Amino acid sequence: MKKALKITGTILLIICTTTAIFAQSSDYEITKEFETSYGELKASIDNATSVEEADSLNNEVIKLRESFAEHKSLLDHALYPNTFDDSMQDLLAEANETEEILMIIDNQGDMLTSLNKQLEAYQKEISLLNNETDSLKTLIAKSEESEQNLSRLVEQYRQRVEERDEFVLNMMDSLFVAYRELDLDAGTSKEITSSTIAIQQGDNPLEFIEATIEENIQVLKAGSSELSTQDLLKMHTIQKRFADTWNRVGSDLSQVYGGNEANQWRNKIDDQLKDWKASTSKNTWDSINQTLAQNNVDLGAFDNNQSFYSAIENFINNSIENSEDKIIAEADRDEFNSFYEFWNSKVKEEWGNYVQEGEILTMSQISTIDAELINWRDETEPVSLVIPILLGLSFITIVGLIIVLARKD
Amino acid sequence: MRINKITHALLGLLIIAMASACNSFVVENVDYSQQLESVLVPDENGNVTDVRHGISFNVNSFKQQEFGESDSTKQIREIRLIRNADGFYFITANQFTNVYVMEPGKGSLKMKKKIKVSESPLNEPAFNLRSSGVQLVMTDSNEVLELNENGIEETEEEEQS
Repeated sequence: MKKALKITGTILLIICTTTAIFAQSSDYEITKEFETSYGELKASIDNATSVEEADSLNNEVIKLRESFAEHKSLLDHALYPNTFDDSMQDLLAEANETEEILMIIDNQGDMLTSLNKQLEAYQKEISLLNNETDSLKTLIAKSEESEQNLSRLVEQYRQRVEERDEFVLNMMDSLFVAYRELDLDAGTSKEITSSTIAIQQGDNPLEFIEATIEENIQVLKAGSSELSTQDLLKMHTIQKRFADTWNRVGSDLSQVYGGNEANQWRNKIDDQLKDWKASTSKNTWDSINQTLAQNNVDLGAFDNNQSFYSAIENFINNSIENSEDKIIAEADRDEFNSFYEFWNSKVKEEWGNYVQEGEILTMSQISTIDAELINWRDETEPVSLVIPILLGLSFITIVGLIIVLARKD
Repeated sequence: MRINKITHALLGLLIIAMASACNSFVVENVDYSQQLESVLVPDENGNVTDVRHGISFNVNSFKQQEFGESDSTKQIREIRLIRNADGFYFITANQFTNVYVMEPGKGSLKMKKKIKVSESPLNEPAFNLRSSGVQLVMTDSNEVLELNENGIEETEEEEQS
């Protein structure tokens, strides 16, 4: 605005003074006025900031040239060594150049505005993405926290499973033994509660048993994937011991500590044990299957100890059949090695105790499989071709001798 | 004998004529005109220099000539000069009433004519050069006087000092 006013002032000054100078007809003043107008116009061109301004100045240059054209001869002398035409041409070229530069700047300004808008859009998008990232980080943190809790739960289970479950089992055994020592025919619940095995009020062993079974079920539900096959086999074994012990003492314990709800307690814990068994069994067989897959052994489907044994039997027998009559059995040898590794390092060494105690496999079944493995190994041993070759050579030699002797005769 | 004397005299004249012809080599039709007047600002000592036209002099002589010895209040802020085709300088300034026609000499400017151009001191006078000669423009009255080295051309109102 200030600049526009300044330019307008310059233009008005040029017009007014030119008119006045022409009236008094002083060559010197005409020259001075031209120089002043020229200088101010040049300064305005140099300082122009918009295309419109430059365009207006361009027109003013043309007007200046027209105004002083009649004094060309005088100005040629005054501007020596320059001429009037050269000076005006220079000023006009400068005005045009300024206008072009400002047009370029204007276009670049538009582009810059467009780029700024794009940048703004990107910044918004980044902001949104950052928010999403924050949300995801929060979720990940929660997930990690959840995973940590799960790992902690599994770790706690591992620490407590033996201690607590053993304790409960021992408690059940002790209760059972103590109970047997009592004269149940003559005894009443009063006698039991006053006996040496009396449980403190609030320490009902049935509740304790129920809680222990429930905890095992919850651990399996919450983190079965975190548990190793060994953990599951251990749980399988404990569950079996629990079930055996309960079958022995459950009825009596329910009667003694269940009071009027003895049958309900009995049924409740029976149901719990069934759930526990089903859950443990499913997870254990799935885990064994995964371990077999990791060892590149495909036994087919199995979901209990009998079908597991049958699957092993079939697998070995089929493999032996496939290996028979093969001179080169490199693939069979690899299959044997994979299973042999699984059998010895996992089943017998790592899981051995639980496999037997949990009756995954009996000792007899293990021995049978060991024997079949020896057969399988023999079938996959590389066959030596030395003897057949020697026999062939011998046969050819004998035939040759017979022919030679026959010709001599 | 007489013929010999005449012959010798003629030869002597011829030699003198040739020698004098060699010494007075002159270029005619020289135009000294300065198209645009010079407006010069004196320094503290009264010296002015016109670089473009190659002249430098002191204006104090003009001050004395115009205002006299006694008047020290008058100052020459700027002096205006122009040269006509014959080479005479026309010099005046603000508050002057005269235009001084100066003839350049050997290291000097000799006054050829002092032209009285106004009864009252001039206010912003200016010289123009036209084909007819030098013009004095008196901007306050918008009056124009045609001047030559002898005075005002159309009017006889000139005064010689």
